[in-house]
Amino acid sequence: MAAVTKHPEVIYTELEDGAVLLHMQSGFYYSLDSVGLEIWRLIDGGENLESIARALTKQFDVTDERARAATATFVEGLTREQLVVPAEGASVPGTPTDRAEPVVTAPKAFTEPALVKHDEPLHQISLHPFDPQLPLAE
Amino acid sequence: MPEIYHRLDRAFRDALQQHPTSVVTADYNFAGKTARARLIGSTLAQRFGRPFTHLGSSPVGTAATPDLRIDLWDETATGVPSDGAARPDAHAHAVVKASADGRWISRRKANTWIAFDRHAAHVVGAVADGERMSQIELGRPLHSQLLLWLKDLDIPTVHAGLVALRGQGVLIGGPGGSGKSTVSLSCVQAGFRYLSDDYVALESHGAGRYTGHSLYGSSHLDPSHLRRFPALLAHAIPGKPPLEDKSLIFVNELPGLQLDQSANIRALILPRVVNASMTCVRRASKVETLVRLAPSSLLMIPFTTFAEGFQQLSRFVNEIPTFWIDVGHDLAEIPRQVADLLATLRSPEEWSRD
Repeated sequence: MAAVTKHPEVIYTELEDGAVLLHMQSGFYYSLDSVGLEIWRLIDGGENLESIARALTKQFDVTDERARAATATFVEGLTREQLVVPAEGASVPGTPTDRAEPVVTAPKAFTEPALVKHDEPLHQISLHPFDPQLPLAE
Repeated sequence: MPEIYHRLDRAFRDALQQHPTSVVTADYNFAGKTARARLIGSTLAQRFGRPFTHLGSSPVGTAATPDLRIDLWDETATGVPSDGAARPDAHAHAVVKASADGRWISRRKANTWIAFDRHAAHVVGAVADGERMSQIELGRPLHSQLLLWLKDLDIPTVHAGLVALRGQGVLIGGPGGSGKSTVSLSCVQAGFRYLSDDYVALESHGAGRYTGHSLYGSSHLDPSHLRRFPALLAHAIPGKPPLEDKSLIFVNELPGLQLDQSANIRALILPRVVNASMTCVRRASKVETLVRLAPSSLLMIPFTTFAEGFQQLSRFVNEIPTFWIDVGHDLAEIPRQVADLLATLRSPEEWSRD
């Protein structure tokens, strides 16, 4: 599976129970649960999907097979929504990247990672604080 | 852009020179900071101050150098024009200009032309006619400028209501029509203090401690809210359609209701109206809360980029207890549920102080 990286027009914030993403081009909001957030965190230019799945097995009570399948499905969803794009210079599948393993005390319960798209997109996103075209809230 | 500020400043000083006895000076407390207003024109002075009566600070002149200076004059009352240029149409959006470095901002509408020097913390401007102020100008004077000034002081504004019981505040957030005003007004009628039903200045003290500050003692209500709160009808000032589809109420003038200037924020509640008899409160996840708040909140704060507002709101949501309030048919249950929630959230130190 090819490596992906976060789309540059996506901003996101991590919360104690997941994350919220906003695609600044489409205006849609998305929310991630805690497993989805962990995958999102691991997505960068250096990680491929195999290594992401492997990292999940260290943190969650999940088999390799299930982690790989869940990661692939989840990343397909991210790709479909253009929240991630193909990464350049990806590492060879199966080759571990030079990243410190997280310290895990007891594996957490695993649930299928969820990506929820919220219905109402934003119709106007201000990029410049003094945008004269922006109808300022009265 | 600075030339607009200087032009308005000169014109204000001309008005001051020509009408020295017509100046009304007043100090207001915004988030613990003093704003000193000089207003030339009696109608302008009376109308400008009306939503701020609960924020009046110590007698004028006793405060040290104010944190913000506000100088406004009424062109019609004084005969001193700002300039002879054509003004935007009444239905048009404001014309906003900013200097390249963002220091000077001017905002021009049909009846007002206001400039703000952010470094000098000085707002100066003209009201074309104090007798013809729009509903927004009456209910939320200098809205953009005040919010920007507070943002510059690292006190951003959130689009939410705020009520308080014994200094302990509950923020009420959510999209339009979700029940914010219903919850705010139900609580206030039951004895809570009113701070806002739409904009709150939020001051962070670190470690999840926030103070919410009132900005206006006014409220803009849908006609549907007036039907639910008939006691407000006599005090409602209807708007002028089609642009003004809400009624303006000066909550600070309602008999028997009390306002606070500030409150400690103990929780954020998200109303939603349900088809049930009972009202109940339950925990809201952080993700649910941010998704509920962000779409409406972030577009309502002027002079803030989306990314900046998103991060600020996220930080706040992560640090404050968050709850749904499912609003049933019995509105009297709302303040009871909110009071019970506050009681469960109070620290032992706070109980012992009462």
